[in-house]
Amino acid sequence: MVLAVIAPALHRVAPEQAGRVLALAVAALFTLFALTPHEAAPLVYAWAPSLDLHVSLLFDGLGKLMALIVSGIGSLILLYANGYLHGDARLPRLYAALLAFMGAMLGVVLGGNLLFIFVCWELTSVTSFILIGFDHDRPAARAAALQALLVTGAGGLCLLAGVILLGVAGGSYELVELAAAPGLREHGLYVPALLLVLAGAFTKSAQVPFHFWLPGAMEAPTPISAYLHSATMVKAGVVLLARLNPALGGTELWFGMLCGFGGATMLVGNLGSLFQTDLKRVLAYSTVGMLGTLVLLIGIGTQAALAACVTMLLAHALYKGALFMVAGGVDHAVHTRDATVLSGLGRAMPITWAAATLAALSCMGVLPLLGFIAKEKSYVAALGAPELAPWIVAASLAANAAAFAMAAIVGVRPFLGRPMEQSEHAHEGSFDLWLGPLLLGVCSLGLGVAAGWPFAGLLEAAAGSVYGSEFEVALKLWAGTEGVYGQALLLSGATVAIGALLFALRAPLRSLAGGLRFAAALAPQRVYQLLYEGSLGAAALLTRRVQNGLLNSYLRTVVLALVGISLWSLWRQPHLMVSFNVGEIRTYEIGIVALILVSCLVAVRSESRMAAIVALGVAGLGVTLLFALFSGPDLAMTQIMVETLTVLLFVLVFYHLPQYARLSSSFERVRDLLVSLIFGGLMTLLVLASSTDILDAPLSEFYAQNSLVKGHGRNVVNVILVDFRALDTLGEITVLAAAAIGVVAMLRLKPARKEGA
Amino acid sequence: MNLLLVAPILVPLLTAALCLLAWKSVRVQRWLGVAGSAALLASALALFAEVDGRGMAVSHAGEWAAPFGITLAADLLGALMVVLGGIVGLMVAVYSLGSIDEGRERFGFHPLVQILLMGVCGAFLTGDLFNLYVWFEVLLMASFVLTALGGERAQMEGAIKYVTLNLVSSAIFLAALGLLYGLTHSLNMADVSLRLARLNYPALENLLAVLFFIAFGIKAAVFPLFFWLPASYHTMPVAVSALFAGLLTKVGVYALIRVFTLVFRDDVEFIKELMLVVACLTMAVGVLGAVAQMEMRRILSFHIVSQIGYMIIGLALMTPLALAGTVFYLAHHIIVKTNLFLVSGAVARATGSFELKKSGGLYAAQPGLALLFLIPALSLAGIPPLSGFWGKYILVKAGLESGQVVLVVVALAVSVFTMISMMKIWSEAFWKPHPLGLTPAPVGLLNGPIAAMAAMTLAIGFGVEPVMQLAERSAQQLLEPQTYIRAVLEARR
Repeated sequence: MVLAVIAPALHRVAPEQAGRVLALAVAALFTLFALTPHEAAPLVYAWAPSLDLHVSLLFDGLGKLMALIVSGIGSLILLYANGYLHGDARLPRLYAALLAFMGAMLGVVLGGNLLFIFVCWELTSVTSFILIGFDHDRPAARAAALQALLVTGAGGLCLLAGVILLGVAGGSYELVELAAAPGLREHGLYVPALLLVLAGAFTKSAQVPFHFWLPGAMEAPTPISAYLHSATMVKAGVVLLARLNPALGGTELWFGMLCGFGGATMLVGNLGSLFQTDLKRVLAYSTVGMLGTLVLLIGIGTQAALAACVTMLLAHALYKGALFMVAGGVDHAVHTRDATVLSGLGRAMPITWAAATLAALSCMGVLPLLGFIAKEKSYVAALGAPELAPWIVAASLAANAAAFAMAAIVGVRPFLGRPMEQSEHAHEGSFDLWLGPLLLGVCSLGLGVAAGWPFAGLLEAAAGSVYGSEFEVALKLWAGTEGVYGQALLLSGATVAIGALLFALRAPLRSLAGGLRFAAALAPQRVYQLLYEGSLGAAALLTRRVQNGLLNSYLRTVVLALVGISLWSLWRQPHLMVSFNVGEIRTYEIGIVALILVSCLVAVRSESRMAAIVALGVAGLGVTLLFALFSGPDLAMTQIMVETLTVLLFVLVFYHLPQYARLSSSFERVRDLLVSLIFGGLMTLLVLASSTDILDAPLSEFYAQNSLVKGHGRNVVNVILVDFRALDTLGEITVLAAAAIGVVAMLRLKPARKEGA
Repeated sequence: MNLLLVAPILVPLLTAALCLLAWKSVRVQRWLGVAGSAALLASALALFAEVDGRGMAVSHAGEWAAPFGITLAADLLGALMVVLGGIVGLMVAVYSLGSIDEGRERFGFHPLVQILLMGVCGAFLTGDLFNLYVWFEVLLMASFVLTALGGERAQMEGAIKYVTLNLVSSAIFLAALGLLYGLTHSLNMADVSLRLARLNYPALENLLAVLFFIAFGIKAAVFPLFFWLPASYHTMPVAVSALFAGLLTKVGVYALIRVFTLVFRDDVEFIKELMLVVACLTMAVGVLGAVAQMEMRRILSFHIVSQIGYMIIGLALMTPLALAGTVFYLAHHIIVKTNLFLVSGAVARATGSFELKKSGGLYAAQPGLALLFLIPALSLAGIPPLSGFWGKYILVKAGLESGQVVLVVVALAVSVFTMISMMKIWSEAFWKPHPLGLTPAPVGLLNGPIAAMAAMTLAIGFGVEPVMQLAERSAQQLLEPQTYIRAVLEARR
């Protein structure tokens, strides 16, 4: 994270070397991780204890393994990016974003507090968004970035809800404490929490039916695809599931969900990859398939399955990162990634060829590479699955065979055969471009031959941290032919045979099944499109109706809301006391009220403005009379002045305005009349109900007694205005001042003909 | 008199008066505006420090003891709001130096801003219902003139809708006050609260509560009372809409919180049910309005509505955590929303338009501004560890703890849509190349306040602990109104 900040500055100082220096720095981090023993005490820093947020870092087997992958491949990718986008002005931003991502990703894999993991999790989504949209001039890149962000973001929100529920159910966000929490699996919130967490993990790790964003994300430049969308970020979901396995795993639901979705993803991804022609999309689908396999293995949950899972995780990161970089190198050299065209590049690009071959062989699961060990272990795990073993074995066989063919298409075919047209210009890229894939390829070979050394102990610890307790993991290149190992070996043989057949049939497969299966695989994409555009359309429609621009409809809505909520309140609490004594009404009061009502009616019905103004004036006088009658002479005097002035001003201003136009239909008028009547009725009811004399009235008494003694004034109203409640008066004077400014401005300031900004 | 309580009202009043005296000289007014806003912020901070230490500050205007005179009272929420008002005021004052045209400045822009700030602070500090009405009037008149100032055609149309609907709010508020006074014979909030409790008459009390809800709900722009806001905010100069966006609706929210935690609390279930429905609908309808827009300020305006819904959640749940979430969200939102409006002005200055279709190319040309947009935008969308995430997290957690599944689903879905519309701005104005191939112009001074507010967003995000503790203490005060009541009725100074 710190590096992300200094990256652009560094680039300015040394544009040629920045990538290499950063790569070295990250490599140093890698070394640091490698040298730290994996059982190092957890680091805890209290970020926000009142929100249960602690930055606790779990440097256990799994954490260390992932940290090594993230920093190791990250360092190679930085180097690779330096070569891939050499001289591009946007390179410093790429470094900054990549390093920011790296920091967030390390937080996800090392975090021991679910809330902290979530914080980092979302940061990886955002940095991924920025990175997928790196070529932001192209609409396709922008759309793909948004799609990835929305799918993973929506999943992220489910995850947030799930995490909170887990916190409520387990009493903590700390993974260690959750794993030890008794009765978590029997808690009422277990099922909703688990489903929500799975939704988050599945979207992030591109499980069917949310997988479609990952191939779309291939809009990003290759270094980004290689790093985020194959080796690291997409594994976040898998890592989260692995982390939660000790706390949540082992139930029927867990097994069913993970095996179901994982298995389906495994098949869709691996088979889907065969129907693609763009190298990067081929790789993306195969990544989807691998993520499915990992989820499936966690779902099976036996010791054998978890051992296979961590081995697979490492093997995949190594070979898939290499294959992506190879694809990018090829693209860089001959400017195409079309698998149907590429051919015969081996001669021109020997080093890349070597790297590609190693990675492809590991991916195919060929002896003696690490991929072989991983595949054998996964077959053993499938054979030992507690339920549905035959089905899982069959699915694994199909998936692995497809992966075999896929690896041949990407890693072998482009380098063999007759040299293609552009291959004359093909040349080996700079050292930055081939070092990464070659190193990863060699690792695949070396780790295979040495049976995991020096990582065997780490893989064992990683499998142990997923399982919840340590157990022995035997990493052997040749496990023998006894029992399940023999069956696994047989399956491997079958894999090679079927895989070779699929490779041979790749062209007809593409054309034949292209239309059919491809459509099926894309269906979720269309659902996303429909949902996205549909909700935008619905939003536009709704907004046009609600915010329709008509002031009178706004007013009606406000009044209706008032009436509606009041009626609801009355329905809840109908015990309203209304004391109303008809005998108290005097005749002249009826007269005044009738006068006010009639003049209001005239004002509303009148065809001319003048008549309406006069009618309003009469109504005002009626109110003044009422004030006078109810012993408020001051008020009456003020009111009469205001009314007179208002009428005069209205006449002056409105004299120049045109006649009324009738805009509303009679239906609307009747409706508005009804609304007004209900509103009036309600207010009447309220007035009657509120005029009770239950409580004493100390205020009037206080004012009457103290206005002369303490306020030094005989007129109580005056003393209230200028002394008891002088602050109100000050406020009202300010209102007048503001109004005066407004009047001056409106009269004198001519509108400027430009947009104010 | 406790001068600390009076200062946040007096300082802007004096500044406004000085500005009026210097009517002829725009330059003097400008610097008066900045200096006055800075003084307001300083006085607000002093008040906050006092309240933070003692829990409450109370003062009776003219030494007339409660409930006979007008009481000014600040609890943690009130003091916090005044500080936020000071921050927004200062930022907008600085921003307007580089953005407001001279015509508006010659006709009272600066004194009007100060009068508006006076009204805002008054509303946050008063302990008297009628006095609150007066501050609302001050606010309304100042904001109306600011809305109409300039007299452009679109502006007038917006201003008329703005003032009409807000006058309706005032009328309903006044009617409600009359009825409440008729019933309780008192206007002092603390006193009214005690008297209503003595009366124990929920049927009538709830009806009055509905009137207050409608009056304040219009101000706060909740569904279905928000129409004035999207109708007017995009018509004014950015400095004005930023000021409004930060403070006006929040005065409404504050008033809702105040009356429904202090005055009407005999039938809490009623308030909760009402607010639950209102919160969900406000969040949803607001955000749907936002995604349907293609003009930056319109998008931002609808988002205000949507986020008011989040702030109402505290009242809908009435748990300590939920109210703390509301207070937190208020603080976060005021900073972020003001800033986003300021950014929209800078974007329009740089690219020539508020219309997303007509702008673009900013990411390539001005990565600094792009970063300054991303911070508040991602915060608004609730991306951790920015301030908006914590607000959302606290409210969602409170909702889940109360078992309000629908509320939580709506709140989370709304944040997806918020993300969509923030990324729409990003994609169109920043990523997309400019449609006319123009290179965006530099925005100069405007970056200053934007950067300062982005830094505040980051500070709230990373330093979430102290803010959260403050919010929790404030929520505790709100849920125990006896402290407030006792402080007001027993204060002797």
